[in-house]
Amino acid sequence: MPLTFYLVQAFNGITFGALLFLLASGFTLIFGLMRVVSLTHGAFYLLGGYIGLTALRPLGNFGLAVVAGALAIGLVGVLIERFLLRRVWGQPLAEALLTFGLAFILADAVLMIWGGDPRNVPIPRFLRGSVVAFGLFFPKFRLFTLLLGVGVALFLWWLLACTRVGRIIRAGVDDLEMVAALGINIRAVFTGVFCLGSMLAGLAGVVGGAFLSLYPGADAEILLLGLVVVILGGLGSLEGAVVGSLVVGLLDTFGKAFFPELSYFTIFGPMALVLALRPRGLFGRV
Amino acid sequence: MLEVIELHSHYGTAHILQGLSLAVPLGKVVSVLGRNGMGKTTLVRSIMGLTPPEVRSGDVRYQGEALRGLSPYEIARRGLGLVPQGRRVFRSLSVLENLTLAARGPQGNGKPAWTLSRVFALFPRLEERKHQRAGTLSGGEQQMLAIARTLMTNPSLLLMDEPSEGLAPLLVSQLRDQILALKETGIAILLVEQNLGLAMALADEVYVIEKGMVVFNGTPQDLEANPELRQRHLGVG
Repeated sequence: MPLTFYLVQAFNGITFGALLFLLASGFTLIFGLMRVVSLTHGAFYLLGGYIGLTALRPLGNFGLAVVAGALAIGLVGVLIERFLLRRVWGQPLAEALLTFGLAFILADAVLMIWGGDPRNVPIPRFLRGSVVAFGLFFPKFRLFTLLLGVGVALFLWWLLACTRVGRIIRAGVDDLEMVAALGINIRAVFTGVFCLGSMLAGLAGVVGGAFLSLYPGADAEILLLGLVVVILGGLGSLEGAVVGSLVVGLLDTFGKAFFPELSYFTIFGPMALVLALRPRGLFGRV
Repeated sequence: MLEVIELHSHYGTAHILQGLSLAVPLGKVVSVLGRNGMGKTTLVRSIMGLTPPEVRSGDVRYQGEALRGLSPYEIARRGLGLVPQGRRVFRSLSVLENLTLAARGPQGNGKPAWTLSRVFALFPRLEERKHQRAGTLSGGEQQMLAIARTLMTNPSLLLMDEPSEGLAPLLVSQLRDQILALKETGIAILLVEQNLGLAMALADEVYVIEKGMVVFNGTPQDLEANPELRQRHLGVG
């Protein structure tokens, strides 16, 4: 195969990884602090995508549609955290069942409202077409997704490393009870983190609706990939989410190019290996 | 200022505190002594509102206000500062981040506020290590950090749970001097200890607890004069 083939596939893998990162970063942030494996995250992605799609017409602007998807899902997240998750907090089985059940309910609601046909969020005019470099075509929208992923990663790094809220989140990952015993209202921080993680899922949904497409079942597919990302990278670790997203994005893209009939194996094989050899993932602490 | 009244605390089916009462007066150091498993940590956790244990009856009052039913963070904001058993510093944060995380300004208790410079004056070692991750500190340094971290919240009462646990004798005597220096500032301390020497050296008043009940209350001198009691409840002559 020519070198250009590898370059194009690598570009596709990395940009798909950036999309996965948008989803997985919120997922891992929520788990790291709250120890909640939020299985609604895929449904948040899909719902956010459809909301962005619907909001696009009245708002008339892709950027605003992304913001609308993110804000709407942030709100849904806050409501779920405050009124449902809080009741079962600290009971992992109840949390898993609750978020799993909610995922089904949201998926059905989405099917009822938007129907079963695949829908695409139209790519804005200025992001259509490709950038040509070294004789290769790089789709502009994929470049945009990559930049967005890098931007979100930098923002989260700044939030965690340089702000008081970030210190509280990192301390909470170490010892939640002690954070509370020092006079910090950790519940309020939980709500904030769940909201932020949900917003990222909604944002990923609108971008994903243009990058891939929206259809019933896309929620479960993306959740599965997101789970692989955080298992590889380590639950609760931002670096892990970055590396895990890139690895899964590349594995998925190259796997589908080389062994299309084994495309699940190329992702779940390495995941099983990591689980067997290093159960806490590449960067995880728990 | 702190009153524990007829407190009953349970861990599941185990009834740990069985009607325990004690009081910590303003600016005094009160020591609670007792062997392992007698309910010392349960007492501290119950006061701080941490669960488990579950407090089923009795009351904790602080400056006249009932604390039972409040969340740990609300209790902390009323001026109680926990220095927990096992130090529990935030291992992945730097020393400086541990200190500034929960820092609260002067709490209007009439005392000069704890600041980084005051904390570093009391624990110079922490200043030398301020950019180091807390998880890489020695046990003695982690204990200093656990105390300093709590001081930064400007509490008016410190709850110290076994601060000498796992420290070499030299470090214990250093710790004693540091707690004495704290006492000089007029802060009240409830010191839960197994180390009789440390507790006796610091305390104005001593409680001995056994199976979740107070079996002795008096001055260190009273306890000193009662070898039979020490032998029976603390296993030392």
